[in-house]
Amino acid sequence: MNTNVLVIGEIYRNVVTKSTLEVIEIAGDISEHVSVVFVVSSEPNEGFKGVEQLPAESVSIICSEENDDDRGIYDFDTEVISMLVESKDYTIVLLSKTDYGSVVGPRVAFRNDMEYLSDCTNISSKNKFEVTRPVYGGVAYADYLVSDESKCIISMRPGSKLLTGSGGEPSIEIKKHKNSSDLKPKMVKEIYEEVDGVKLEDANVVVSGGRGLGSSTGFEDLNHLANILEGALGASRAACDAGWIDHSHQVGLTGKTVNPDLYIAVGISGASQHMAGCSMSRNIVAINSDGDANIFREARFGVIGNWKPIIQAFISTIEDLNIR
Amino acid sequence: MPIEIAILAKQVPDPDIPTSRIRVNESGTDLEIPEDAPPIVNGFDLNATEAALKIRDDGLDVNITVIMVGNDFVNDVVKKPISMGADNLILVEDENLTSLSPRVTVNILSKILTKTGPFDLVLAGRQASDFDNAHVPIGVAETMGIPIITYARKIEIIKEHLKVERVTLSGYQIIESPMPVVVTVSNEVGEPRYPNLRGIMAATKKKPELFSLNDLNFQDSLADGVCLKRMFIRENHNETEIIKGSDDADAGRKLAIRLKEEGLL
Repeated sequence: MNTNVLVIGEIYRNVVTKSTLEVIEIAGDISEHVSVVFVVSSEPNEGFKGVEQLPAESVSIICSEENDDDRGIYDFDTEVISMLVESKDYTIVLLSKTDYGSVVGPRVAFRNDMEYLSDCTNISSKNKFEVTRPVYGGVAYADYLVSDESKCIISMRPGSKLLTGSGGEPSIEIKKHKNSSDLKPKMVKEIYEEVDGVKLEDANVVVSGGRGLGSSTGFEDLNHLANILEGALGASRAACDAGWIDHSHQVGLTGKTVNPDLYIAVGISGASQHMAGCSMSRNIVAINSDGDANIFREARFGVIGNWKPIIQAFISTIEDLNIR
Repeated sequence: MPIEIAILAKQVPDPDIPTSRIRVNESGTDLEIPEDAPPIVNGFDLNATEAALKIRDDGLDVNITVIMVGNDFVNDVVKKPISMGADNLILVEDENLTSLSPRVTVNILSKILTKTGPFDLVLAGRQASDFDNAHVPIGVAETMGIPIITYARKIEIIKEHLKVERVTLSGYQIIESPMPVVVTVSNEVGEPRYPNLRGIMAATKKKPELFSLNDLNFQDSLADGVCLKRMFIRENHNETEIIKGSDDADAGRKLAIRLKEEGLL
């Protein structure tokens, strides 16, 4: 299709994020005319890694000339992207359903009278744009049609596209823009609770625990296993709400979305809200004492039984076999 | 003068209904919920109610008004926030509002907030458990031209200024904001409190203030630029291989060996 598609991208520590690359490739699947915009606080001297090879026609980098704190919760980003959307004829605007995308997407949509569809897993463009998104916590899916007269912003669930690694030679434009408004929320402090090591979102192996662990000490065993497998530690919302583990480990609809090769779910029943965060995993292993638990319908391998002796034997076998 | 807090809430099907009991309805555009499963107030909206009540616990004079838009409200259900301690209930009920698009919801909420306000603080759950859109409160903020802070886990009012701890995927941020402001509340704020006897009595006596679309002079189209074409339940064709052993430890050993065979370890 010849539609003009704009991707709102994200850069983290001077590198284009993986979920942004996914969205740019999704844009390339539905249109030949893909532009990408990044809003940043300042451009580093060495530039941003990966920007020159993005598979897009053009890339705009808009710098705020201010530090990140003053960008607050994306007021500046909403303002400059709104100006861009208004000035060019973009029918479809795509972004990733990250913390950033979940705020900037709807703000730009409602400010510019555009439609908005959130957390989508597929877009097709035969005659009209048809978009699929999970609803009811992932129990069901809904297909939406975007009418010809509408302009629509669509946020894509991270992990909904396997990267092909395609590249391009986009034109690159760098603009500076002054932050104009001052009466708004300001971020006064940011606290990182993530532990060192592999990031959940990037991990090839995730070991997750749920209510079935029974207490916070169970996470020590799972953390040990995650370390052996060079993976990351996850948790269900029930385990986080019980205070057994920090919320930054939460996998699910309202937590993180993971897509590892191996997802080991221990004492997790597999409610759809949890599966929304891990169903993109290539191989799910379920360990649960309840053989009727939903997780066994989602898993490739399962063990029904008491998690503690299972995990202890699992760990010692890995160590004995010197698998790692 | 009390601090006026509005809570945007939604009546939704109980998300804990087993998946096996849920079907797509005849029109193919919504789910058929078993009749013996009563609806609930969206869980995150009760978290928002809890956040408002915590501001009262801090010793501030607050007046808490719950606002709901929809159709087929169940009296006992929609009064839940009142039984927890909220003061007023406003229902915008209209038979044309059976299935509501986020855009129309935003427009109606903005009208009712303007008509019954002004409010210093508008709270809402981070998303509703039916369609998981998570953008209605953001749309309300943009439409009314006031700031939005999402995913709050703690809200304090200090000298007419708001201090919010905002959950991020890697930790949290501390945000300060002038009022009025819209804030969406996440489950990290804490479990909604159980109603006490006084709250239950207050809810029994409470008469909701009712509005129709006509009362709001609402003439916008109920149609939308995106339309829900069909809904379907995800089929799972997954064959699960159950690993068995002589006891739990043996099964754990066999699992490790099986995963090694598959090249997964």
